[in-house]
Amino acid sequence: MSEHADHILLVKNLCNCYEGTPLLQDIGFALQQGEILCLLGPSGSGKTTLLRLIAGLEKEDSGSIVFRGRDISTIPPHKRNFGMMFQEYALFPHKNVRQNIAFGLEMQHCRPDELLHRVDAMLDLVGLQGLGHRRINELSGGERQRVALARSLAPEPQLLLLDEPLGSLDRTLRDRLTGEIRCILKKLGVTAIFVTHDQAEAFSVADKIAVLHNGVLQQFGTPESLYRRPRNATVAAFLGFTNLITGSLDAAAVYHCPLGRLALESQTTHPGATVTLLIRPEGSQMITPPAVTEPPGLVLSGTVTNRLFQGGSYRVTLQCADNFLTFDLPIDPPPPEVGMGIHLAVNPAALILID
Amino acid sequence: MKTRTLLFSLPLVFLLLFYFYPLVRIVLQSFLPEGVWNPDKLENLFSASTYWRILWFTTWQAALSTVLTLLLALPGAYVFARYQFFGKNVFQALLTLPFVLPTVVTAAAFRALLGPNGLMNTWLMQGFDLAGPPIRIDQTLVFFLLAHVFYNYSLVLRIVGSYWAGLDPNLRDAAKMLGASPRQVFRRITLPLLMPAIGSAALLVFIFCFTSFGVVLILGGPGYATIEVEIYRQAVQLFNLPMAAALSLVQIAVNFLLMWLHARLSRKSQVAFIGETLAGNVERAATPGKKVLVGANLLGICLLLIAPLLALAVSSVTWEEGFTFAYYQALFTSEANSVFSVEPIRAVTNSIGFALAAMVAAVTLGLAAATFLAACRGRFASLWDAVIMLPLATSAVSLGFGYIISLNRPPINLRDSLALVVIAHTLVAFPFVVRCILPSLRQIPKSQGEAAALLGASPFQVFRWVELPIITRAILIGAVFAFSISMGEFGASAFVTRPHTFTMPVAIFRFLGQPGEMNYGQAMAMSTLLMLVTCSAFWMLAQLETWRNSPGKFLCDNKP
Repeated sequence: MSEHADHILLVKNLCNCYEGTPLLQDIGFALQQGEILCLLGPSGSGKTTLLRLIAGLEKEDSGSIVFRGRDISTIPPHKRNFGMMFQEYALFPHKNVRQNIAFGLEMQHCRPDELLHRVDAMLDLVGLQGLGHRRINELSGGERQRVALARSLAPEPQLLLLDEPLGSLDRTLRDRLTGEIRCILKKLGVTAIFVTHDQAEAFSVADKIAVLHNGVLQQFGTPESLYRRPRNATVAAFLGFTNLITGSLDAAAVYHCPLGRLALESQTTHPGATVTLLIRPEGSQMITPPAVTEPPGLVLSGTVTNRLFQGGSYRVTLQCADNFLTFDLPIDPPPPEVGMGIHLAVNPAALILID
Repeated sequence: MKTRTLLFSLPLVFLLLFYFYPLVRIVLQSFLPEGVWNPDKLENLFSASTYWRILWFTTWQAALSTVLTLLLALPGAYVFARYQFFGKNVFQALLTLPFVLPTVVTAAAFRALLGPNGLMNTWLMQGFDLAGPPIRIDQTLVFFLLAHVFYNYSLVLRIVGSYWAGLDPNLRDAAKMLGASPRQVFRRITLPLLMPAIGSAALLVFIFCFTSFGVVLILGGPGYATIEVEIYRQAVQLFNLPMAAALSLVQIAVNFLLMWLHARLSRKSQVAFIGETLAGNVERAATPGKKVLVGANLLGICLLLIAPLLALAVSSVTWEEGFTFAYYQALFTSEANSVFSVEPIRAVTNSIGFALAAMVAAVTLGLAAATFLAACRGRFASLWDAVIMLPLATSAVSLGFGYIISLNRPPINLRDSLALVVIAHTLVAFPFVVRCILPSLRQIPKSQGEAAALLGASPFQVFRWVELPIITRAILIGAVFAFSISMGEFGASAFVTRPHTFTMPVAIFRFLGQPGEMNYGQAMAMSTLLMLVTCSAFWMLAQLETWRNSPGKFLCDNKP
């Protein structure tokens, strides 16, 4: 475990049950100083429970959470110096913006002059100068979110935990604020864990992503590795991939599926095993048949059943045998209308065999 | 809107005739005693030190009662808001009991437990061979303070407890994550957030104790008089009507001030008056310390709330030789009684009859008022709301007094009419009904009525098929409250009941005021009966609710 030496947070074999139902099973991952981790999963996947376990607000049944080389399971939450941003922000309604931000500093018995200075710095950081004396119920959703962020950052936490901090905001505001949050966290070099059920949000904010499903850690890695090689159909489906085809490998490690025979790399080598083929939607090209030279790899021929202009690209669904497959195609040349035939040369890098 | 305004005229006319008119008579009586301007009586009132003493005593006993109640009830509120324990539902049901129990029954129950011939004294005298009763708190301050705590403990527990349970648990977690220890979380976050609820509960307790009548009259004895008690004495015992009127005026003024304060406070904090359940984020008491805390509070509840009621029931069936039904039997005869010329048991039928009539009237008026107030927006909304609430702010004794000086001569002569009791009870009960119905009417989003209208429902159909089903529960609760308020009403009844139409609380009071074991026993028996009638009303409400919530009924409800 020497590779874990520079890990700030190490979660090992973590399990948690609620009234007999397992919420989390055997969770393990490691996080480095300054990294932003996204816990990604549908509601009920256990991501908030995992966050609250790390915060110390819930008690683990087994396993350990090691922070800076020390098992923290016996340390109560108020002595951990972790920051947390709650789903509905949990701003104190009886305190104004400044008093909310100052609360953590007061708990640390910060000197009055320094407290004043730090609160001002925090208001600057999140762009709320001049709103310090507002009451919480006078703030908009976006402003509340900034106050919550400033409040959790003010005591300089060793680890920042964010529980769906943008859940209640509208799409445009979310997109802008995710960018801002990442910017602020990176500027301060804060190690953070961010819970979300939105994969776009996860991709735009995270250095590492942990995909949770039914309390089991499905995959842990960088956003890119997740996108390029989802480990299983659950992860692929959750990342929004729809082109999943069931097939099998023969003795010569050649993949057989309704679309044809393909020679593809695969982790699974058992001949006869059922394997799912994922075709990512991007990078494929339209070709005009009859092609003089057959391009290498997979060529799909079918009928266009849906065609959506999306600005930078077309989203085209084609029926190919009994399968409906969706691709993002460049706007030039424009793909044929619905009901017309189409031939696609699939990007070889977009073909992945998964368990 | 037009029909609703028309509807509102009903409670308004009622208020004009049976609230404002008597009130005006009181004012006239105090300033113009014999039809001529004579402020001497008022001057007498303010110059006589006795009356300042009464006012001062009324104030500080109410303040002391409030502080005592808060000290005892706040730990209980914490336990109920935060912990799950065995028998919690039973305890919650028991806690509603004192709140709905008539004051006269409360007084009788404390007499039964701690009075000179109460159970505790009897046992102690037998156990230790004492010559006299060791607990001598009858006719002292301690006795009725204890009864005040009993009466208001559950009120504070319910108001503060439900507010506490409703606090966002994330706020506590957020403070913890910012480094606050459990003690700091309580002091810096929970307590400030609870303040509106505590303030509102404290003010209500203060109001109830300030206007305390039956408890002080029965347990305090002649040595202690709140303003209410003094009004009664001046009017009934000394026949000094101008003085009683002047005192009523003072009482009404102070009550208005307090109610106005309470309305302001509860609007700010959105504290529910009645009906909130104590549901929220609860945990099991795991550590020994927490177990002791929960256990101590439950023991306290048993001692404070259950012991007096048990003592009452036991006293109603025991005399020197042991078990007896003699007191109950005596209630059915008229000969053995020096107090009443007819069988005392008639009080039960009288009371139930008055209560049913008052319930129907209060629900009708309350529903009309609430429907109007819910639709009423703008500047006048809160004004009308306040007008409707006025009777709550007026003491029942003043009201009863107002009736006997105003409704006994033309234009309205109801002197010997049975309706007088029903009218008094309706007036006291109907603001409660409005308070029950209005919140659930206001919670119905406007869009629901609009959706129904666009689907073709007329305004009446919207009310009948959309609003009414939603507020049925509130109406039921309001009805049962109206019933039990009428059953237990004593202050006004002491004035307006006639020898042949006495109610149960009046009968109990008269029994308690007479010497002799037989009278005392009959008071206990009558109190036990009143307790049973009130409890069964709430028991029926609970049954009705389970029946309404059962899946079979749910299907029926969905049928148009």
